Amino acid sequence: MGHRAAIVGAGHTRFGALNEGPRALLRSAVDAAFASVDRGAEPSDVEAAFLATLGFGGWQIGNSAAVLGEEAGITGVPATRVENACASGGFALRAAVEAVASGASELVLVAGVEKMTDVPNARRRYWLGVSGDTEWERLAGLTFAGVYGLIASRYLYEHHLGPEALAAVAVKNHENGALNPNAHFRKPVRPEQVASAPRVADPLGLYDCCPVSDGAAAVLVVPADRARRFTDTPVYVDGLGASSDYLAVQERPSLTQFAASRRAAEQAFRSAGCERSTVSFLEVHDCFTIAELLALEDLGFAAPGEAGRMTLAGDTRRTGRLPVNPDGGLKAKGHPIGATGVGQAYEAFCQLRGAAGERQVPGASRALTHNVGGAGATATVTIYAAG
Amino acid sequence: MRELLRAGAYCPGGTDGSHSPSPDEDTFTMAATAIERAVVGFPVDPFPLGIDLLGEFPPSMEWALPAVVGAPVHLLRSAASARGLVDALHRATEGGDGAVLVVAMDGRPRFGNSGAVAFLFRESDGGPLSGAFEEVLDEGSAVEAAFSLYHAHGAGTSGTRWVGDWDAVARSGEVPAPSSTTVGPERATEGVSQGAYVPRARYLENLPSRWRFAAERCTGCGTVSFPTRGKCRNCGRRDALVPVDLPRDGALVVATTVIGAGGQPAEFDAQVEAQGPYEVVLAELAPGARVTLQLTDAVPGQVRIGDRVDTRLRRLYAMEGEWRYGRKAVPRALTAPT
Repeated sequence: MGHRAAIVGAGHTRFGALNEGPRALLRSAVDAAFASVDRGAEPSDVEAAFLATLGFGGWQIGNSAAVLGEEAGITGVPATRVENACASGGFALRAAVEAVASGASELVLVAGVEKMTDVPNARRRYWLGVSGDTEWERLAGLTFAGVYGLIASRYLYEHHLGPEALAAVAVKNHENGALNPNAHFRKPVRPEQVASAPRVADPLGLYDCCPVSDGAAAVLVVPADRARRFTDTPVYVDGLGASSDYLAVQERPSLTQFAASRRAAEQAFRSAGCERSTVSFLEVHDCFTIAELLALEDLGFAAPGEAGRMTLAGDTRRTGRLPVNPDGGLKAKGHPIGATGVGQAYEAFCQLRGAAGERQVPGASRALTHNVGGAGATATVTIYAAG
Repeated sequence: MRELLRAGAYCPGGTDGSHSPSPDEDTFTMAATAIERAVVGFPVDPFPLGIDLLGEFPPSMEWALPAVVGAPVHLLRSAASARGLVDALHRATEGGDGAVLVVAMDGRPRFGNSGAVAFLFRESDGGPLSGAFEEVLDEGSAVEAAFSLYHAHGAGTSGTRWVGDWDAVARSGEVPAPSSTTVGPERATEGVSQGAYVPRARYLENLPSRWRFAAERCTGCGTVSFPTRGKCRNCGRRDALVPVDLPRDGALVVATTVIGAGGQPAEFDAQVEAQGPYEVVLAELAPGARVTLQLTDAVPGQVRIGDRVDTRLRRLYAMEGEWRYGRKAVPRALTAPT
């Protein structure tokens, strides 16, 4: 099977309510990615660029990939915006890996950005809402929180679990976020705080939801056989999987399984040729606490209903049997839509090089990232190995 | 001659039993519910269907009646008095082609006369009720006269089925306060420009699926496709589809959530401000056909997974200066026997 591509540099801004606009955020993330390349890489060597963003900041809806070129100093290369809502980053990374694996390009820049806090609250809800189904879910009065609220109600019902299984995800991810200098939330929370928070979409409360964040992330992707020109410690991309599903959850046979995640995971493991038992940690798409439980099951790391129990037992803590979201996840690190999937790749890059600081997963040698668009309409799974 | 085949009645229920219309009801939704009770399961041929409207009915909703009945319609307007109803019923029994609906509605939030009735007439050799209409003539409204007709003749009318709330409404009594504040379209439109802009043309595009649960069944593999896309969602065949309306009542709740604390889309802000949190359910209409519905006439959290709900056409929210309508779920326990 072997390596499909390698990541030789990665950059990440803080995620949170930031003063910087999307251009400045992109510039910071891209500059940091170039600066992280051990033997150096020049913007002039970049042959293609992919920008993951939902709406950039609301004021540059079209052609925002050209702005990435400007801010990265690579004006002139083919630049493409990739938009699959919250999975934009994962799909942009996939496009870059395929570009180098096919021989089309030798150095590809992937960046993701979102500027969410400039936008008035009602417009932001509009913005996020129209990535979901607008004819059925939206007209019934649901945003994504509501759709995931439906999913959570079904999950707890099917598996005879209480909301404490959801709260355990929030507590664990806040604990990890507290160790991550880039995280939006750096304070631990107690289960009672999660339980007593206002109900946004029962059984989901405020602490079951990821925050609205600004931020950017960038990675540099090269063909696997060129990786060592840039660094002695590249991070290889070994497995790629992606899939899609009906937009509205009402059209899917199951509420508690995302078929797109399942298909993406099967593809990724097949292409990587590795077993699940060899994965050191997971970065999963926990836009809401319930989403992390579904992810563990869809990715094949827990039997149906077991993810809740695993989380309550502490198995998914950073020091547990299978660390999940050591960077704090979307829940605590934040969720600047287009940046999220690229930020997951950044975390894989840091962890597999042993450079994740306080939040380092000891001995991490293989990572999996999982990026979901909306409530499972699109999904990518990527498997990485330390060089 | 035509014969009175079926009569449907709808009276507002409300959570407090006051029979006041809910904030999401108006004469259009009440008439639509009465019409459904008169025509669902009774395909009327040949089309078009004549509809005689008695009462204050939003003129902007006349275009919507074909989507309610699933057929082209010819519209008439008659006076909403008892006399007007009797005249309309007589006219309906007289000759002419096709079927006729006589629909009376009254939206005043008053105990006893708020509601709608729909009489479905079909061609026959002679109407059993044709001589009885005069006997109920009094000074009241068309809706009150319709209930008089039921109480005088309803149970004993051979060949006519009386469906809905015919027994549920008292005919006189106190006038209770409306159960909650009604948000008018002007008010509900404020701030909505920041919400999901669903242009009128897009809103109209899939009305049959959203209002009648119009679906397609594949005669090749048996799969029901909902909403419709012109091909079977299982086998992809385009040449083996037959239209089928899925049941509007008795849907099984498979998931539920209560939206509050800012979890609503911006276009529902006015509703939340006026009425507080609301419940949304995912309900199964038929195997493989599920729909997302807001719950109404209920306390949020009242409906649980495993319960059954009925569905009604109600106001969703206002946009472009008019109400947008769609089906909502109501708890089964509160619905009138049919």
